[in-house]
Amino acid sequence: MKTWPESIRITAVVALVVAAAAVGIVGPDYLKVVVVSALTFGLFAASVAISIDYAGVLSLGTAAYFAIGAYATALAQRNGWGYGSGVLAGSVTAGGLAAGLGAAGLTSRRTPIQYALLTLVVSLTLQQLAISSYDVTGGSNGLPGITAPSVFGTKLSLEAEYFVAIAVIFATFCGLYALMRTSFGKLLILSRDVPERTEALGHNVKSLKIFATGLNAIVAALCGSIFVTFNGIAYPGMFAALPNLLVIVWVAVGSGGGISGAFLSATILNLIEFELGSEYTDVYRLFIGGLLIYIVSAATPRFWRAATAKEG
Amino acid sequence: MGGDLGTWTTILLDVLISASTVLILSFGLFLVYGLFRVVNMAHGELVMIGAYTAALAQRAGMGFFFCVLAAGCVSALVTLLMDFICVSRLRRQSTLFPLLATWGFSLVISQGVKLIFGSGGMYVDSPISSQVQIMGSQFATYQLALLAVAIVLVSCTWLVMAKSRFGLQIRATIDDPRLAELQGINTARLFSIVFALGGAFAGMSGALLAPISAINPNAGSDFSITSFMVLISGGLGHIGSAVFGSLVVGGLRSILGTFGSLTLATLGMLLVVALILVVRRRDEDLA
Amino acid sequence: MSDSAKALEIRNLSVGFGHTAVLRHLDLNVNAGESRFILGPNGAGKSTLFNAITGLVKSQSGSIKVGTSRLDRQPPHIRARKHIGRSFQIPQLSEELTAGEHVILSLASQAPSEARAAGGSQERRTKAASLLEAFELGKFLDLTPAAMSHAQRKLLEIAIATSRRMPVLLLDEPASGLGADEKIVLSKNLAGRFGMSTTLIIEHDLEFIKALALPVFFLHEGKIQLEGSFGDVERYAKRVNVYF
Repeated sequence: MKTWPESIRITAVVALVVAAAAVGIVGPDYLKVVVVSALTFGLFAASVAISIDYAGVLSLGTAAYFAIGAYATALAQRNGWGYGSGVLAGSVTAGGLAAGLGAAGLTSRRTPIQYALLTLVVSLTLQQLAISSYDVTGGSNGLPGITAPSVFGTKLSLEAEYFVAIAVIFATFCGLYALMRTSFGKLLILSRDVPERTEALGHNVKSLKIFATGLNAIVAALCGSIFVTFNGIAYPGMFAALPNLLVIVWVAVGSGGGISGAFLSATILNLIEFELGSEYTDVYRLFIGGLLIYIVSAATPRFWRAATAKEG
Repeated sequence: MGGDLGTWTTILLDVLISASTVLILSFGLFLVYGLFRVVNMAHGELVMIGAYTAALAQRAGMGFFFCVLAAGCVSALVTLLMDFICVSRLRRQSTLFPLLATWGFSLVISQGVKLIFGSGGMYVDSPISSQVQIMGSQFATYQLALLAVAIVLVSCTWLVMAKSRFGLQIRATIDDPRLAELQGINTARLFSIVFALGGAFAGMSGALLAPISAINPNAGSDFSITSFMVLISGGLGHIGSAVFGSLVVGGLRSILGTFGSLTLATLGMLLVVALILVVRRRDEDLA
Repeated sequence: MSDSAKALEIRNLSVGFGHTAVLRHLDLNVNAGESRFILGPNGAGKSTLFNAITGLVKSQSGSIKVGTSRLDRQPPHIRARKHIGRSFQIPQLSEELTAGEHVILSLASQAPSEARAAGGSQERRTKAASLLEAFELGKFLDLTPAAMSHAQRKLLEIAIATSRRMPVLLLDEPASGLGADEKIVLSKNLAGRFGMSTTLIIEHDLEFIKALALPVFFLHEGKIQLEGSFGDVERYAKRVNVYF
């Protein structure tokens, strides 16, 4: 549990930056891909923490935003529409989806469990869509062969691409971190804990929450774009129940540590998973399942209570 | 197409068979959710375990009927384990925590099965392999038998809920849990019983559907998705909504499956269901 | 800074739930800058009246006006943004934010012109500190509510509500949960602020009511039965055999 003081977390993040830079300079290529992938998951979890921990909105379908970013980037590249427009389209689509889900599901008429189920169902629906639209999305095979774009006509080395990606990830992280420390972040916390007081100050709590989920979606889509650039393939499994579960666990482990807690927990857990290798994937996932059970029953993040209180 | 009686009968029977399959599959999930508002995310995995149990029991030489019973027992035991570990306690605290905890269990179970039995598939032979001709189309007798099972299941459930003391206790508990407690009904134990029953039904449905389904460690997620769609389409807890939901899902699956690919059918169902979720009014539905 | 207080005018307000009518054709007028108590027996509908003004509860008929603006069609958060400030009977505080952060958020939530007047973040912090000092909560500037007693949390609640200069201010039982010392602090602060907003105070604490000596509305059986001094209301209540 990330009950470390803030200064230790910041130190850990800085250490991560240094380590990532070192890998970029002297590490083997495969390790660069591993580190970038782990860091995209870290940033993804940090964005989800904005929704769950700060705004108190528990979504079970955030992997869909990640996957939308991946697919949009992949589609754009394979169809020659330009890498950048793919990334942009992915973020916009994900943000739009989050806004739509928020408008439909975050009203006073809907309970948190309805919103949670709705988001999960949407993610699974998109998975089916990806599987069945073979012509567009490659079906179950996904869209392979994705690489980083050329810059001004020159293909960059993996090392250069790596450093650009790392820079983007850490810059975005810093942006989110700074944002959550402003009064906007505090306002989200207020709306999570005492929504009536927040409304009594003149704020539209529903809009605040939708904005938080939208921010989550946009950053998550960006992470998906970076991930697919280095891992080469977008596939329907990115929308499945499993990645949704995983991100919930990462955020829960880091809960109480804000943006940096989620970032650290997701990055470290993923580095561990990659290091264990594919023979241990099944054991590792079993452990994650058990971890979720433990977290929910014995060590519930306190911010979940606002989102999951028993009604009536 | 046109008004050919034979064609319409075929289509109707197709829909009914599809609906009955789906009803049997989702019954356990529906039972627990409808009565106690607890979403068991491990439902599909419990079905899968039932199928595995049946396969192993059949290999050991047991008759099909006993395979089904064994499957029910094993899944019920696993469910009781979940109940004991945390679900019972969580149910009192929140409507969402049991969902999350059972989601964790679903991963533990599916990964556990994978580690123990490997990723390959299992096979269960159908107890009835004959076919029947009705109005010019061939139907597998086994699937017609499943239709009969579904009808019996629905009737018995209705009878128990409406006429028996057990059913009365359950209805009292749903209406007013505090009052029920005061009247001496042990709601915690009632929940555990119903939860375990839901698991038992899941296991038995796994065995019953095994001859016509793919069985592997990942099969749970497909089972779960279909069951959820029935849950969401049908809505609130009485047996009538289970029937309605099954008809919607089974019907769509059968009709869209005939005219399009199966994945398109699944997609169509999911879209309809997501729509229903959004459009559903302010009620307690899925509260 | 010009006077922000505006008149509150309620006409023919009816609020009911199902078959029960709580407020029946209620009329109520407060001139700009004036302050009144609202008294009445439990269940008379005082909180319902507040909820109808803030928009948490729908009214079946009647109009609510602040100055020249009609509030009826506006959602709760718009009413709160432009017209109404309120304090809650039970303090609504986040355990994760400090007292200072609560007040700063409130200061930042004013109409743009007032918010700009409150200054940048350093000035807001100074202003929050002095606001908390006025309520003798200065030492909690960087502490969360966990460090505060029940009475102090209530004072913080009032401090938050009164930090915004709003045309109308609704206080829901501000004295409840306060000890004698805290009530003095509260009276001092309210007395100093009264001219800035048109204020309605729901209260049950007789000592406090007599100490502040404001005119009183008596709410009973869905209507304002009487408007006058506390003495007038006492006599009326005795006559009709009602306790409040």
